[in-house]
Amino acid sequence: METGYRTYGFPLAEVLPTMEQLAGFLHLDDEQHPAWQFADAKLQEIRSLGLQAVGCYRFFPVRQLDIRGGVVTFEEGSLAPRPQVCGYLRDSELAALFLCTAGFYFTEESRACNERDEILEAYIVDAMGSCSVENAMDRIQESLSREMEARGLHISNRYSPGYCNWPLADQKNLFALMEGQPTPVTLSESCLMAPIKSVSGIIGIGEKVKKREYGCAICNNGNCIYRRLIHK
Amino acid sequence: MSEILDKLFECVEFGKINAASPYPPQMKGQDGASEYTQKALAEGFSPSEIMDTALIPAMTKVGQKFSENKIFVPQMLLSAKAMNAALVYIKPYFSSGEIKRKGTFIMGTVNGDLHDIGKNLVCMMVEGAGWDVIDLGVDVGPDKFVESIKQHPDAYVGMSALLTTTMPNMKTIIDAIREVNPKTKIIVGGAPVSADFAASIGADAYAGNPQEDVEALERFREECA
Repeated sequence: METGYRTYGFPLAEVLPTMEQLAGFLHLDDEQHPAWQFADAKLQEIRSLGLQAVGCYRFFPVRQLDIRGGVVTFEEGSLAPRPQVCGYLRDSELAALFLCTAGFYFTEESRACNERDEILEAYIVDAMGSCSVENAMDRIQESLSREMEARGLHISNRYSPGYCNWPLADQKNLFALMEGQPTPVTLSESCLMAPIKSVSGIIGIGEKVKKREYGCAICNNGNCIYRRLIHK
Repeated sequence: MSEILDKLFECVEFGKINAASPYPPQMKGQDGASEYTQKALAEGFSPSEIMDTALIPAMTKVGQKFSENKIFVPQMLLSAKAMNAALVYIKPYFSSGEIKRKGTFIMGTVNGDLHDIGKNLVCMMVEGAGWDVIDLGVDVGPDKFVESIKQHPDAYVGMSALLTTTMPNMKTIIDAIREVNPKTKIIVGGAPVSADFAASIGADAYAGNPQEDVEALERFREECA
């Protein structure tokens, strides 16, 4: 398996949420609601802007997966996603560490709306950014899955620091492992990514790897974006 | 309550901003919060009466519906827009002292954290409940909170954190505030924050949603009365 970065770029227009997806995310069921009307028009506007979502991943051979200890070790370093995520990565021979971003547009536009006291519009634009980056990452994950299946390998679901009990502070180790990555995503001292509408994490790969459901039933993070996207 | 104030209540509850707003459909073509507020003032209702019998109860109902998952953020924000349309005509009476505010609430997202949606929702609901709100913004460290509490020593403080890595900053800020004003009541909230965590860092209350901020402030006010 190659050791360099695999990079992806998508026109933002292709990964923007559909109105149906966004409405589910926002719990909107009334097409006449001003939020729906605004969102519909804004999606069309954004499609014409020519912006891009970008992402990348890199393969790391797994040297050791300590499920009980919650640590996955590679040649170049280790991550500590805790036992729950390590359990989901069971039988991984390789890991793809990934980064993906929908860019600065959504945060800047949301902030501009807020400054004009357009609080509803700010919230919707922010939600569009959250959905867009997940849609972009879905496409990267699908591409990875196809490539691995062709080689007789299976992939796990994707997991990110801050979710499924993986401490957010482990972002620092993840970014250290991904030194030289080609996206514009940076990490603050408090482990906040910039652009904010970015995702990072790990996907396990191996002959016996299974894609397990997210453990939403046993998690009490009611604000989790995955819960909102999966169980909308 | 009079018909005008009933209508104003309804406009805020369902997000009817003004006569030109087509939403909600069942109120299309009717006056909205903007017009009913002007009418109420013209008919001699005092600004306090309008606040206390229409606007604040309407936003309280909105907050309750939100906390019970009967409505969601877009619906709550539309109500806030209607409330703001009414406040355009009421706010001048805040500064003149004709309307007595319940107190001052200082709010910010803690340092290292740039998330502002939760904070904005809290500010909006607390203001709608009759409080003066000072929004310090995002990435706010102890110095800015302390400076604000020095300027408003009777104020209550709220802080939000959306990251597990920035939650510990809440304790640093609480300690700094308590150093200059040990009696300041402080509410904390945000996705990773819990009631146990709030207690462990010395906060006076944990709020899981904006309505719980409003309820905590009411409790503090009663305790101080």
